[in-house]
Amino acid sequence: MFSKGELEIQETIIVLFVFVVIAMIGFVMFFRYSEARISSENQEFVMNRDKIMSVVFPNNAEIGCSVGGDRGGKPIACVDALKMLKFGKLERELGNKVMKVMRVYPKESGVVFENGEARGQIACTENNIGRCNSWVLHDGRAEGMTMSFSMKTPVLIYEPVSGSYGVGVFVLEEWVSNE
Amino acid sequence: MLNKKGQGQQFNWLFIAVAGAVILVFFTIFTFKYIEIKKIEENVQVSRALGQTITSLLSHGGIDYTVTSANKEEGGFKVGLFAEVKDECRCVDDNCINMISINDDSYSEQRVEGQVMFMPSSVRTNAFEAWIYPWYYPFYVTSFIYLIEPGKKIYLVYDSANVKFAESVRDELERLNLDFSVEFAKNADGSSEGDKVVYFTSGKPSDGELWVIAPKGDSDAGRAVYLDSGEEVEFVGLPFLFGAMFSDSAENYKCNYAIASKRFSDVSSVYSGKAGLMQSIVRNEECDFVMFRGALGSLVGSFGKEGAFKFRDRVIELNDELAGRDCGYVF
Repeated sequence: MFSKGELEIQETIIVLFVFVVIAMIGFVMFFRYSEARISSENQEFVMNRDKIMSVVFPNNAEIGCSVGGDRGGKPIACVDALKMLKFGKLERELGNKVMKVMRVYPKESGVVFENGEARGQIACTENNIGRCNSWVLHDGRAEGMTMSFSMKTPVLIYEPVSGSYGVGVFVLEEWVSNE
Repeated sequence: MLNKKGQGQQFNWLFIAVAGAVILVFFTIFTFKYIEIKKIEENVQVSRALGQTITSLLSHGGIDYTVTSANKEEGGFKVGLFAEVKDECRCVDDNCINMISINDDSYSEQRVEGQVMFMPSSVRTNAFEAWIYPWYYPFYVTSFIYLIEPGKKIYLVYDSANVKFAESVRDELERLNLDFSVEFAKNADGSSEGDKVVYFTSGKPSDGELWVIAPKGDSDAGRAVYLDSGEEVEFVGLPFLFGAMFSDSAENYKCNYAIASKRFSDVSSVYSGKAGLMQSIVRNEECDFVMFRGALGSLVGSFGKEGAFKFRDRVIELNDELAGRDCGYVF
């Protein structure tokens, strides 16, 4: 049999042991949570940064239009209909995104948006230049993916051959794997 | 009896000491780990502030000649507390990217993809002077990002044979109106530690950071030597030369040169394709886009070489000629 004093010490050891175990669990959880929070905030930041960069993507020289001559090919704020046809042939790592430009004006030959759905799209190829209204710049979708994010930005579309301008939307979609 | 009581007391003290030590160790570890987490948070915040500055600059595109962000403060963009900011440009196969990290912390790593960015490979600072500079060759290709410590003094040391080129560099740096002073001198006697000394001389200097071998004649392709490592790099025009001046590592410079070359090759390929499409659409015998495509191909092939400027000028000439014949501008 244990004496009263010995029992008290054993109780204290048990209390201390339980305290240490609980504190250690709390300690590990707190730091795991802190690390996870930092990682997720970082991911969110990178995603937001990528979104901003995607919105300004039409300014890139690979699709943006320029006015030559004495202005030295200075870029102006629009996209070039012919350059967009060639952009898809570049080897670019753009991930699981869909990037396209749809012309909505002039109205008679443009895409019509009804309840967020684009209707009357005619995909642009090298054989129907001037008679189409939708340019797919990149399609990184794969089987079993769902759209996680979509954004539309207005753009000015320049047709270099006719020298005319149209109004369109630059559509950016982010697709993620379901797994 | 007394002996047993004494043993009990001794055990009590031992127990208190062990329990106290356990608690003390626990709180010590907690404190250190907490400080570590707080440091990670600070590093991540600095990294984000830097990322926002870069995004803000890039979102201006190449429409303006030189752009600094609207929220620019005196003494550069504040990025938070003093931190060791590192830039490492890495290439895997043909794909090169800049990777920024703060205080060597993996949580703070940030990829700057597809962009040409020149900055010191490692710098301890709490602010940056940041700007972008559009690169035309001869059409707009991309905008280069530059990040340097504010308040730096840059010595441009010249000799009589290279004074003209050195003057053009000085004038452009002064025109940018950024937070660093430019000293134009025949020697670097007045320079002190921390100043950047760039030589535009015929002979190789014994000290300083960079020795610039100016382009010959009408060419815009020159060479620069990093004086500490002795490595030689090529530059094409002032945007690249500024890159060599503000990047202290030949490896990082070469990696960013590779990014710029890839962008140039991509944009040229798009323009070549566009010219091909224009040829098939424009039904005008006077519109010969084949010649334009040939000159563009030669320009891409000779990029970085001394004679490339001749193809660059030919491409401009043919572009203007096509526009003059109502065939339309390619760029």
